[in-house]
Amino acid sequence: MAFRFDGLLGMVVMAMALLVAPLAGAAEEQGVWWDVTSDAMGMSTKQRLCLPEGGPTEMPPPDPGCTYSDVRTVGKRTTFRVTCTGQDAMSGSGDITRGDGTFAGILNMQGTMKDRKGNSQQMAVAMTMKGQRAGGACDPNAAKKKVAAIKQQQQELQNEMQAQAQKANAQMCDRAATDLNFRLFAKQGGPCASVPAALAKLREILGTFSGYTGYLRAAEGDPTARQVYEEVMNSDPEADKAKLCKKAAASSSCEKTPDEVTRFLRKNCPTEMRGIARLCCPGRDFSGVNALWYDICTDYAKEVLGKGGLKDQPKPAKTSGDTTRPAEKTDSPHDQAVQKARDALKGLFGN
Amino acid sequence: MSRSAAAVAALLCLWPAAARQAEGEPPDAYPRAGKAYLVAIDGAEVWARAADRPLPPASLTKLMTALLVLEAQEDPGTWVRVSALSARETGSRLGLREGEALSLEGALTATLVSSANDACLALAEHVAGSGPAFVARMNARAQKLGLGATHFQNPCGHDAAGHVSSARDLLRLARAALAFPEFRRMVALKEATVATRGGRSFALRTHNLLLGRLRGALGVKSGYTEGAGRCMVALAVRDGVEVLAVLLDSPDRWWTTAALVELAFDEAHRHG
Repeated sequence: MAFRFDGLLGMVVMAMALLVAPLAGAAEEQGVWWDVTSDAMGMSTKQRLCLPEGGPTEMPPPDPGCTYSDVRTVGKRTTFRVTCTGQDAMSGSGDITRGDGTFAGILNMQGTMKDRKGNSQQMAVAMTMKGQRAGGACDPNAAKKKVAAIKQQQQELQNEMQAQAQKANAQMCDRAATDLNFRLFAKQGGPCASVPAALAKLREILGTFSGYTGYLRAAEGDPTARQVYEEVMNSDPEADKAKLCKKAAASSSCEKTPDEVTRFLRKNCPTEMRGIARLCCPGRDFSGVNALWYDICTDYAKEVLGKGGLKDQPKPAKTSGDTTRPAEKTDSPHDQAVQKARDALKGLFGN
Repeated sequence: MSRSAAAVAALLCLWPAAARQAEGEPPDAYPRAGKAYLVAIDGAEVWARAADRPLPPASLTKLMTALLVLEAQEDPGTWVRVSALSARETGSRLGLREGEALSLEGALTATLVSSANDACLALAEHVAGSGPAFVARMNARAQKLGLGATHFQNPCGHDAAGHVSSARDLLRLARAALAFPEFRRMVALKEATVATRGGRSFALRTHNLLLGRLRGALGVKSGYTEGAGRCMVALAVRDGVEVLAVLLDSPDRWWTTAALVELAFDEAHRHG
């Protein structure tokens, strides 16, 4: 713990509070109750404390992190030095003398402390302590144990809070990856920019067809998206699109292709989509296609209508329809040949 | 005006095709869409091919049948008796039996939704007393509408010598029929059920595959005979823009119509 004056007063209060902890030498002894009066900087505190039978051998340090040295006991008097390191380093010395049912001690500390504005201040503290044996057995370590338990509890609570905060952050970042919330992954100030699991997930999603489509959608209105994409994928989005288009086109087998891939192709890869439509659309049964392929084949029909018409386009080996019906009357031998090959004669008279 | 100029002018008035040429025929932007076709956006013709050429219209004939039935303004609940002739109708049919009766509304629904020839002829006989009498009314109505390339030989669209119409005439005929809300409602149905007076019911499913697929499709009518090929009159409306397309002998009728209508909306959007 580092003292901050508000400063000296805080230190003294802390030192006094530490009296509730057993003073040195109490570790293995049976304790008795003592009435202890402490004075520091004009403040006086009276407490009934559980101390060793023979009285304490050290004064309480101003900070639990302080260390004792040069501890010398001659008869009933013990002298010692105290060194406190850290932000508000201090050092000092003290002594404590035990009498018959009494003890008295003094601790002088000097050091430099910083106030809230960061200004250094020289300070000196003197603390005196007098004790009168009150009697009655007690456990001198009880308070220490209590303090330790409280500290442990606090530590556990802190750990738990930290863990919960980390978990919440991880969940938020996981969600951000799923939702392609690129802002949360921005290197500058993005809370997810250094969450490895979320980054890995984002990378995985962006490598998919729907993920890339999502990136494009996000990039339309948010320049952060491209920045994050480049950082996370370590590549150029346009180059990745070209790769994805090739991959999608290579894996396409008309309607057997997952709709996600086909949608990606339709939205992002016009050249590849045209090629696929040329293979998949001619001769397709109008009523047999799903909504996605209806749109694709209508686009295809629009495109080829101006280039000679649908009937001149290549057809797949097999198409659906009733082939038992007679071919329609057409104009030319070529038309008749094409027409005979058609099995799209679905309607009887009246259709 | 010289005598010869007057003669040309008179000829133009009497000959719609020639008049169109003079006015400026719409471009044939999609020559392979069909043997003849016509596309209009909000009533204005934008693309056409052989729009005045007389061709067999197949079941698009039923647009006139429906128009005459609706113009007769009979109670829709009137029973329409099925004659022996009607029951023997071929092609697309419900399978009505002689002596059965359908409501006028039911018969018209079957005629327009599933292109039922037995219901169609029964209607014609009901309205005019016989098929030939009804055909006479059809031709008279065609003349009144100014359908110069149209002549009917039967009420339901069977191939027959001299049973012809043109894309432009059929567009005009469709508009006249579409003026009737009841007609609009029926041609937009994907499914319907009709029942005879005796309680025999028929589940109808539209032959118009554009309904439910083409965005904004409001129906009208398809037709097919060996002589006519695949024919279609399609209406679609999007964002207040109306596209009406007629295709005669269009081998890939559905895809071609869908594409033409989409292209028409693209065109409307470009000039929006």
